[in-house]
Amino acid sequence: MKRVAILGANGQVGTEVSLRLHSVEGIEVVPIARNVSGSAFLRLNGMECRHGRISNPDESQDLIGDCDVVVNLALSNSGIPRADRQINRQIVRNVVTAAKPGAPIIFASTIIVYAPAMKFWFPDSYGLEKLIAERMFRRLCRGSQHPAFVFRLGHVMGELQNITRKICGEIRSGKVALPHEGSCASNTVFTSTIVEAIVQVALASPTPGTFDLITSPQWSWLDVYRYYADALAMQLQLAHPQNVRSSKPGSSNPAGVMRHFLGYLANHHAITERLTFLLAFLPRSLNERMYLRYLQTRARNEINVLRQSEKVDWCVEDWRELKVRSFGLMPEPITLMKRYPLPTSLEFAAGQESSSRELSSR
Amino acid sequence: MAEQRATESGMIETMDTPAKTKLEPSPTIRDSSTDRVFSVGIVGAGEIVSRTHLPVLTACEGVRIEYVADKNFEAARSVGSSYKLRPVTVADDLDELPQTDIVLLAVPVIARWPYYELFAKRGTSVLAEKPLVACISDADHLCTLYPDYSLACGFQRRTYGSVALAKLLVAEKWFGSLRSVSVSEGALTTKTGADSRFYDDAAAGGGVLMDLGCHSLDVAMYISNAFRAIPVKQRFVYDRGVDREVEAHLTLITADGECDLDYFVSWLQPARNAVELRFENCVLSLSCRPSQDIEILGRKDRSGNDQVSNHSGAPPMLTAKCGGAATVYQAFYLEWMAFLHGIRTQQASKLSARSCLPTIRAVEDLYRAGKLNP
Repeated sequence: MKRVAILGANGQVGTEVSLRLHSVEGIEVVPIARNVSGSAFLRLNGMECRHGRISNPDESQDLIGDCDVVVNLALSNSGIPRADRQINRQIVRNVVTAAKPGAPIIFASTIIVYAPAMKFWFPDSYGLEKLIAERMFRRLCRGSQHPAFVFRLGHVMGELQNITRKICGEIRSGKVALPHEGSCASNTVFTSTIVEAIVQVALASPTPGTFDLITSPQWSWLDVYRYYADALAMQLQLAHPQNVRSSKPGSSNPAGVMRHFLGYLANHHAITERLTFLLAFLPRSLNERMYLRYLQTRARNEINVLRQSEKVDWCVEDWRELKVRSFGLMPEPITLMKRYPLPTSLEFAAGQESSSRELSSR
Repeated sequence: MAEQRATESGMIETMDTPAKTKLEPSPTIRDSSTDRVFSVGIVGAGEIVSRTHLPVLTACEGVRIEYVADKNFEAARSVGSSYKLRPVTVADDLDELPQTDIVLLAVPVIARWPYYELFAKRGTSVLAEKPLVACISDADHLCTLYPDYSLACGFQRRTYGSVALAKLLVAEKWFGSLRSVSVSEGALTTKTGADSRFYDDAAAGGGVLMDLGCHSLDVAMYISNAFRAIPVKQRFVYDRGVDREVEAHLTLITADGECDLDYFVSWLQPARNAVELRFENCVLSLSCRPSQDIEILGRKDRSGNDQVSNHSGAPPMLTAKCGGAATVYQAFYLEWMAFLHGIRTQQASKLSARSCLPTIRAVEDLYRAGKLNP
C-alpha cells in the first residue's frame, strides 16, 4: 500500500483528486489541510485528514514524513505578493526537506508558465512565480535525491471544479459563445487524468521530469462543451459570432476615428458646450449638418450600447494551442472518470446545488 | 363622424363620408430571409425624421434608405444632403414616388390617406408615425388594406425596458391582479421651435392628447392589456381649439375585468411623468421617459403612513430592471427592429397597427367625451 499525501487537499483540485484517489487499490490517500474547517467536506465524505501548516518546518515532518508520495497542490494566495512568494517557497523547501528519503514529489504547476493567452512568451506574475518555484523545486529535489515531477496543469475540469460549473451554467442558459466555433484546443485536463498520473507515479515509478497535464490528444472547447451538454442531457446551442460582444473598438480607419471622436464629444457635454461657441462662426448649413451628424453619432452610440447589452461574452479565452509534453500514454478522460469515480452522492452535480444541500443535512 | 383630409394641393376639406378606394390587402413580401436588406423610403422631412428616425435608421442593419421626400423640396434637400440621401419632391401625382419595400410615413395625419392607399396598392409596408389616423373607423378600414405585419404605428414606448417588464408583471400576476392605473405626464411647455407650429392647429393633429397623451394612454393600455378604455369623467382645457390639458377618469376593460385609470396630461403644468400600477399590497412606478427600471413601493408609502425611510427621507423600495430601450434612440431602434422582424417573419410586431386600435379608439372616445363635457 502506497501512502500518498495531498497537500492543499481542501482546494478545488485537491478535494476532487483526494476523493477520486480514495478508492484506488494499492493507494492510501492522506489529504492534508491547514485546519478542520478546510477538511470538513472531505471528512464528511468519509476521508481521514491530517491538519497542519506545511509552511511551518516544525509541522511538516509530522504531516508528510511517513508518506511514499507527496503531491503538492498547496498554494498561498493571500493577495499580498511578497507574503505569498515567501510562503510558497517555504512550502517547497519544507516538502522536500520533510518528505521520506527517496519519495517521489509532485509539484503542481500550471500551463500559465507558457503565457498561452499571449502571442509571445510573456507570463503573468502567477506564471512567473510558478516557473521560479518549479526551478527551485527541481534544484532542491536534485540535492536531496527525490524524484521530482512537475505537472503543469491545464484548465482543470471535474464535477467539483468551478470551471465545470460555469460551463454547465452556460449550457443551461443556452448562451454558449466559443471562439472559432469551439474548434480551438481547450488546454484542459480532467481531475481523473491527474489522478491517473499520481497513481502512475506511486505504483509504476516513471521517469521524473516536467510534464504538461493536458488531455492528449487535446479536446477542443467544442468537445468539452458537448461532453457536458451530453452529461446534462441538453442540446448545446452555440451563439452566432455576430451575437458575441466585441472587445475591440472599431477605430482602425479614419471614419472609425472620426466616429470615436464624435462619440467622445457626445459623451462630454462640457466640451461640446464650448465648441458650440466656435460653431456659431461657421455657415448655418454647416452647423445644421454637424448637428445632425452629432445626433447620428449619438444614436449610433446608444444603439451600440443596446446591441452590446444583448450580446454574450466569449465563454472561454482564445488561447493558443500548446505543444503538450505529455506524461506518457494516458487513457481517455471518460475512461479514467469511470476508473476513478467520485462518491455516488457527488457524481455529476456540476452546477447544481443539490450536492451541498445533501452534505449539510448529513 | 365628419372627417378632414388633405387634398393633393395641401388644402383641407371636410367630408361626411370617407372617400376610400376599394382596395385589396397588400400582397405579402415573399422573401423572409434574415439577411434581406429592405429598401426604405421616407415621406416627410420634418424634425422627427431628421433628428430621430434618420440617425437611428442609418445605424440599423438590414435597411437601405432610398430617398427622403417632402412636399417642400428644400426641406427634403436639406435633410437629404445631411444624410447623403436622394431628395424627392412629393408631386401631385403620388405615384411618382419611388418604389421601396418599406416607407416611413411622417406627414401630418390629415394628409396621410392618399399615401396609405398608394402603398397598400404597391404592397409597400408602412411604419407610420403616430397618430396612425384620426379616428377608429379609418383605422379599422386601414388595417384591412395591409397584412398585420405590414403596417405599424410608432408607439415606441412599448419598447422601453420598463414597459416590457411592467407588462410581464401584470400578465403573470406577480403582485396579484392589477387594481388601478394612474398616468401623469406633462410639463409647462412653451415650445415654439421649427416644427411646433402644428401644435397651434388642432386639425393638423396637434393637441396634448393626440400629440403627447396618446403615448402614455397607449402605455397604460398596453401594460394592462386593455382592449377598451371608457371615459367616465373628464376635464379638457382648450385654448383656441387646441387641448392643452386633459384630466380624465376612465375604465379599462381587460380580459380579467375592469380596472380604473386616472389620467392626466398637460402642457400647462408640470406632472409626475410617471405611470403607476396599483396592486393590493404594492405600487409599481415607471417613468414616462425611456428606462429599464421600475420601482416597487409598499402601499403604505403612498399614503404617508407608517413609513420607514432612509437617512434622506426616501421611502424604501425595490427596483427591478429589464432589457429594452433606455434612451429615445434605443426605443426608435427597437421599434424599427421589431417592425423589420415582423416583415421578415410575416408576424405582426408589438407595434402593429391592429394592436394600436384600442388606443386610437380611446383617444377618439376621450376627445368625443371632452367635447360633450368640456
